[in-house]
Amino acid sequence: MHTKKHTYRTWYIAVIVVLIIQIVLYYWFTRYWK
Amino acid sequence: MSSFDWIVLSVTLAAMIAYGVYKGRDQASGAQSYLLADRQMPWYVVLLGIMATQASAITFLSAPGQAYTDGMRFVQYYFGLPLAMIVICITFIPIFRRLNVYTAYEYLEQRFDKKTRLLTSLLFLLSRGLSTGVSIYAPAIILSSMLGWNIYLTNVVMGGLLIIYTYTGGAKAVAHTQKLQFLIILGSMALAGYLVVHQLPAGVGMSDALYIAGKSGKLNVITTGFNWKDKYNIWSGLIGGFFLALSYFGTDQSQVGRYITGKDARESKLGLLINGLVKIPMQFAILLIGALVFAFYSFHPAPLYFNSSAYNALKHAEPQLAAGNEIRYNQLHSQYEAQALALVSSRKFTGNSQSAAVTRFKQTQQSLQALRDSVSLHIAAQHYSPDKNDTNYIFLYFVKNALPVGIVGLLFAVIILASWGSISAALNSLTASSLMDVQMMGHAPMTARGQLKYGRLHTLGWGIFCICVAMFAAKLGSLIEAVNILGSLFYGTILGIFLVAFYVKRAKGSLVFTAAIIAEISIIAIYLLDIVSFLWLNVIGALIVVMISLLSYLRRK
Repeated sequence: MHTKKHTYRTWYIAVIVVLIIQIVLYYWFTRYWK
Repeated sequence: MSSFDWIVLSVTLAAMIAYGVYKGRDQASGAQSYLLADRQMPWYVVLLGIMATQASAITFLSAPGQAYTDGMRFVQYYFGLPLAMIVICITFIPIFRRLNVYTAYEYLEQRFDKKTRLLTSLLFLLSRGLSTGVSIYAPAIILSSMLGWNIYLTNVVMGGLLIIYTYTGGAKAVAHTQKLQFLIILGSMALAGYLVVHQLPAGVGMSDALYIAGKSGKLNVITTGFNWKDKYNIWSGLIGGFFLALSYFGTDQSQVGRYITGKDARESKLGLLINGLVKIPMQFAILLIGALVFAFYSFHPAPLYFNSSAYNALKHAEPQLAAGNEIRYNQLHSQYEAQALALVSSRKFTGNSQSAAVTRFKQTQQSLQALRDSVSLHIAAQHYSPDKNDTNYIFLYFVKNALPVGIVGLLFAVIILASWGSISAALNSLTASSLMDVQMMGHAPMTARGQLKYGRLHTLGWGIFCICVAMFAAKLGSLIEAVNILGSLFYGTILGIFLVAFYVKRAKGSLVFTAAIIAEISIIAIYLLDIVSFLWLNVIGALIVVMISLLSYLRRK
């Protein structure tokens, strides 16, 4: 049970981290080509 | 279109119908099979299903056109989506799975009472039924204009043919066809993206195209300025987009009906979480195609107005005005193309700092845009076209005029398949709600055969209803926008009801029902007064329902 919960927590963190990385990259992209 | 394109288009569509009928042939378990696909779907079918349901034909027509005109900032609209996926995995899925529901609204009867279930399902049926009709008409008017088809026939191709497999195979046929449709769509869009870059003039590469698009303000992915009335900036995207995605994926049966077909909670959750990972990059890529098409038309002659049939009507009625505009436009565009080429070639020596040349290039661009705007206003004022929006014609104009034979047919098929994917899911979800939440509520359970019989009847009924809405849509005029906005007027309230159900344990049915009515009246008032952009309406609606329901804690004290 504990393992399963942990697996989803990893997924949730991964989704948030990927979102933050994307926003940073898109911000850089916008600035670079402005 | 060439005859080979017609063959590609017809074979793709016929094969899809046959595949859907074949995959949906086993309906032994009645409503379990017809509405839930026997809950046997793996995560990747759930994933492709929710993506195909969200991405309608207009998504693929409008997004590249939007990048062409307004730039790529539309992508921010999806920033709240990954966060909403997490909340749905934590709260919504465990409850929907535990109670084994057919529809999201079924849960509300168990939590509150019958009238709350009926109210939310009726709001859903009304808004989804009307908006599905409009979502048949919106791409049909574009295709009929570009291919010279009769609008009524195009409506039948867009919204009628899919009824064949949705009627026979229900959720199973919907899930399997969506999987195939979305893979074809993704492959074809990637090919279109490659071909835009490939068709650039010799010596102009991807980086040069991005340079031109960037200098023209089309690569504005992130905009940080805040304004309540501005639709797309990072704040409205993160906060408004989060509430919108939460309402859409958590409470709209057309989405709930897709992920509850998962084999177990794990498959449903994985489908949603991976959607949270890939949705934004996919939208970014589609918008990038639009920005690259913009760059393409900076080096090649572009039409003054992309909706050719509307422009031909103007030319026919006012030949002198059209001729005068065209001479001016062609002069300006030749100058603009030369400036774009000069910018790109001098960039190789001077780097990115050539401000004087960039300023001249932008000035020519502004003159071109002013001319386009005046023609656009004139076409709208004189009613030369039933469709006032030229943005949605840009991508297909490019496809039809710049891409090789075969690919044109494939991309027209992609638009129709995208339409089928979202409409078939809508029909199946309307069926689920009208059958389980309205017809069967409070009645003794039916046999599996009875459920299937009525399920098919409801699908046929909704299919005909949506086609009728599409047929009348041509006469609705500006009312179409009202129908489109209808969904976002109800979404916030419905989300509020669900949030109270999950998190405000003390709230009872009557209080929530009253809160929902007050929230709905407030939302309609705010919309009519035009105070905020529509993305914020969901946030406000949901918060009003939650706040009023929190009074349940005060009352007890």
